[in-house]
Amino acid sequence: MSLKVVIIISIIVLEILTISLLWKPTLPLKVEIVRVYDVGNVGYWNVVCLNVTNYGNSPVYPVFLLNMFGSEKRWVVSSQIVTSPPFNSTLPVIPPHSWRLINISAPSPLYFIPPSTRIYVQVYSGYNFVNSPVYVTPNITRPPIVNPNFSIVYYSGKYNETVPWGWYVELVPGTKLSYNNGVIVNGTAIFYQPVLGNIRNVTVVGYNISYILVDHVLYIYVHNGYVRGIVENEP
Amino acid sequence: MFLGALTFVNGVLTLGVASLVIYLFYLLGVAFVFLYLIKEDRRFADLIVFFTFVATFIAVSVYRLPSQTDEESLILYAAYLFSHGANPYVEDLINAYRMFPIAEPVVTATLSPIYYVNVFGYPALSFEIASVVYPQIATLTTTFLLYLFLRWKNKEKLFFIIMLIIGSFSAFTGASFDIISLAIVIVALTMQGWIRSALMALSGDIKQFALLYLPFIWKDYWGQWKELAKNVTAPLAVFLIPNLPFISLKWAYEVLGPLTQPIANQGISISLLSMVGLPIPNIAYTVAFLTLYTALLILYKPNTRWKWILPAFIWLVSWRDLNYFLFYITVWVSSYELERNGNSDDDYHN
Repeated sequence: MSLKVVIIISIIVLEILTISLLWKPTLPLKVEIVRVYDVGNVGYWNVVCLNVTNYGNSPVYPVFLLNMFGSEKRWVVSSQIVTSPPFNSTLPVIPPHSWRLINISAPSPLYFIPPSTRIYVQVYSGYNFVNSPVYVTPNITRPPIVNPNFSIVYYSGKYNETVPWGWYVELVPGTKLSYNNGVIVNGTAIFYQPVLGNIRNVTVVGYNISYILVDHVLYIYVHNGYVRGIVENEP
Repeated sequence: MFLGALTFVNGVLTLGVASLVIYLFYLLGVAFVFLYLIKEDRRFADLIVFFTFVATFIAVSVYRLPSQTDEESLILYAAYLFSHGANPYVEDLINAYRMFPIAEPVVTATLSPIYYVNVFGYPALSFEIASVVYPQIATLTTTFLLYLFLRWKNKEKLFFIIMLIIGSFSAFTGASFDIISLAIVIVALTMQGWIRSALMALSGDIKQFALLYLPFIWKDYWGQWKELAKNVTAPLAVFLIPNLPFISLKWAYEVLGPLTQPIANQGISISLLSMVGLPIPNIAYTVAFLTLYTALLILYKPNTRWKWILPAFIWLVSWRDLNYFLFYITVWVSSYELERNGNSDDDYHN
């Protein structure tokens, strides 16, 4: 029995080794982390600026994965950021033998990088399933740039039991979100979400808010206030 | 048993909604879990399940729960397309997330230009069910029917063991249809011959897990050609009938989606090696997966209970594993209780 197990494990290991050596899977890339940003001054890094160099003879259409708490999350390339989720994006392109500076941002307020931790970036070429090696950034303290002159769009977040989730959130630089019996906005934020079903109007419970329902999308503007919940009024 | 019952009752909390009435029934369920610990009275088990059912039914019927996973959004949207005469295997499913929004943390990380998974990777019966029954109702009802079935077989304790192994998340929330697939396999374990094989295929019509059992079952019948023919044709027919309107090369490619889709690795398989930087291509894991399955099939000693557990091992070398192996461990454990001639030792004959 144990001999059979050893034989099977050996076959699997040999197979993986052989394919890895013959396939030459890695992308001819070099990735360096240039800057980290703390947009919204949340105390963590939520935007990373990468310098991606393509040494190869073919263009690369990069998809960026960051190792987050044991699983990989796809971060959003800034040029792909739009005011609705990136349902169908055109990937950025890095031409052969050239380099590009690319900003990637966390896809949700729930994802961020604690300061002074290593960042594990893996790049995939978005059209042919070929991956790069993992680039581990040096474990040095990088001074983050707090509130640079751009805002980021988060595509979701479950904030509170009383607020439905699936919100798109846009933060004005300098804005800080916190969660305590609702979403507390210290600064300015816009939340929006499609409203489904036969809902004609809604009542948003909160402080320093204004809201509007247009074409089945509910927009909530909050300035130094909070959103506690939403009541849907069916006719 | 105690932990299983507690896990089951705590499934109410995975719904993420609360009211005084829901908490009242939840607390009653918890109280009877402790009573069941002290005295293994069958009526206590009934009350645990009854109170949990009432709490979850209130939660699901009163509160409109949004999709918990992208799988649920895709199934709901595929059901919507199906009920409007469209083919979900041909359409771009990206509108699933506009119609049934989900929280970003549960979005599967894709490796393609498309940020979300926009193809349908499950057989057709999943969305055919969802086109007539809302997923939360379907999974909730199946869970309680499973209890009633096991109680009828005087195996109600097994219900709590199943809940302990596979958890109760999918049982209540409709987040995945695994519990429906599993319930059919549990029923199949109590059957014999081609009916059992056909039920395995029916389970595989919803989620593909049980299809991996069929070649092992066929090996059991090797040499008994008439029986083998019945055990091949019956499941083949059962698998194909719900899929008939959709069968095409694209359908086949999508149903093999777990092996072919460009999505990020995840879970506890050896593809963690890629995640930490070893230059191992995705195809190496797919080949390893198929190699290991073939090797286990060759080594499998016919008419033994090994067939229920062996497919669990292949997920250890797969590119992506979201605790899929638990499905097979649950079936394997259940086989000790449910197979007609299987209580004495590992070797038995059909």
